[in-house]
Amino acid sequence: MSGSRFFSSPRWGSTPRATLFCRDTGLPFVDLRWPAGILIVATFLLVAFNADAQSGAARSSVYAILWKWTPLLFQGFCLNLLMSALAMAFGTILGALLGLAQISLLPPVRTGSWALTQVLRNSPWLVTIFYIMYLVPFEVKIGGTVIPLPDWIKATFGFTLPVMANVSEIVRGAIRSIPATQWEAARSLAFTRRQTLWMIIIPQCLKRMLPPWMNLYSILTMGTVLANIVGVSESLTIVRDVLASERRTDLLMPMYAYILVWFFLYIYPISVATVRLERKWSVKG
Amino acid sequence: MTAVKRMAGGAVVLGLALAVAGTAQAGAVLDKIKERGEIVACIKVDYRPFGFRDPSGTMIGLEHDLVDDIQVRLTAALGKPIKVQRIPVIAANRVQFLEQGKCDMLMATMTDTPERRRLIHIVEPNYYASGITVMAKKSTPIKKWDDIRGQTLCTSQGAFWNKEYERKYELKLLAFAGIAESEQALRDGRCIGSLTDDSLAASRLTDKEIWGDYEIKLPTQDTKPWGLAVQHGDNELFKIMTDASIDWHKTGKIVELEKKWGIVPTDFVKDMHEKYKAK
Repeated sequence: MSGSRFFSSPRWGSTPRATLFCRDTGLPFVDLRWPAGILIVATFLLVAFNADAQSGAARSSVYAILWKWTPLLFQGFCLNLLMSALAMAFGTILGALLGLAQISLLPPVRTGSWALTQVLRNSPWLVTIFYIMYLVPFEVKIGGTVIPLPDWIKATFGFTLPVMANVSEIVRGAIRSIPATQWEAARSLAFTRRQTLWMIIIPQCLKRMLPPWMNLYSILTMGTVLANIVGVSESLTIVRDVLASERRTDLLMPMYAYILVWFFLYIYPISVATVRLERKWSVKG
Repeated sequence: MTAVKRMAGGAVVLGLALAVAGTAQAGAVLDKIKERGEIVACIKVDYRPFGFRDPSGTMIGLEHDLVDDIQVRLTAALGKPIKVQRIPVIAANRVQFLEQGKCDMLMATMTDTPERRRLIHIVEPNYYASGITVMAKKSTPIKKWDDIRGQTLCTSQGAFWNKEYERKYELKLLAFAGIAESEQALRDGRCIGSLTDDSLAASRLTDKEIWGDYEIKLPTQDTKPWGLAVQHGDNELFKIMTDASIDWHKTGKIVELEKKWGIVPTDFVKDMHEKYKAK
């Protein structure tokens, strides 16, 4: 049984454009094929069934317990989605600016933005989140009003930074992937640098940036469970709370498997769409 | 904690410093509670039966009942209805949250230690206490504390006894993130026993179906009191907390709560009730 049957490696050969993206962005490539989905769901059912068979007649079944806690777990899961959406939105805006700064003609801007990108892109997400959690105050006073900053907002800010750095690299990589001849051709037609960028280069980049951007979103969504370590009540934290409340060790595996399935069901379609888009928009020839 | 602080310190040097909200002045916390009509309590939700969640997400448990009592007292003392906002904490962040003023009080199964007393104002008398014991399979040959020397035991991360016991008994400790994980490891035979809180172990063993083959192996030792805490500097709030704690022991409220939450009665609570009842 080789793993490659279930988890395919990035298909460098069939889509040359994908190769370029991955090399440029350095992002791990999420590409699960359908057998992987069946494998994961089957594992969950097996785990739950096993645990269920072991629980005696007098105890409520594992399924019943999972069902009972589903609304609370769902609340936690929604927080994961909210954090990922906000971090992605802000990270994209900031990252786009940072990426453009990376191709600036001014050396200090170029070097500074490059350094910031590299630092944030190459440090563990958890470390960044720890920094933010302990550096950002729990409330800020602006004028006379006190604005509370709950932990999940701070964690979202923490996720925004690595997203920003990764988007910055996606933008820079995509712009760099446009053949230099297009810049030269534009200059010979008397386009200014700004015009060339906005009217010729970036429109071509958008298509190229979308698949790695979606890939980044998938990774971010999975990454939001890191917030459990800093005490945000997201889904993994809730899972731990539930385990503590139920006091049943036989729930351990089914609970974690249950939440895994949720994430899988949310992320898998995104990753399929990413692959489709990549194939559709790959530059032929 | 220190690693985290060092990290934070380094970041300040990097020039990422941000303004931190103000610290407490005399009576300031109580004033803030009055002004907001709300007390913010840092509390546990992952330690049944002291603090946990029910399926609706509501936070309940022995400590939550005591916080409810504080709410009643504050309402009476301040002459206006006071609400409670509960912030779930973990061992790693609870002291810091109180120190920086994110919460006004802390009641989170925290052992009272001199180091913590320097950072936060711990209320006396202590409201609860727990000791250390070992839970293992009935067939495991452990008779006295010396028998665990050099053995592999399971425990949970952040328990105050981990470091000391590892040295004292030359233990190989497997520390897990949660109690459920630690117990599963014991059942899987990854350790010969679980180093645990005595009251927790006793209430756990009442579930015969899962824990029928297990028992408490050793007499409890190193019983340490738990501390309810507020920030340093607000003596008015501290006084309310102290009075509350005295009253809990005097009226036997904690004795009742142990019964309510199915906790095997502890000697500490019994003794404190006797002591304060007499006064």
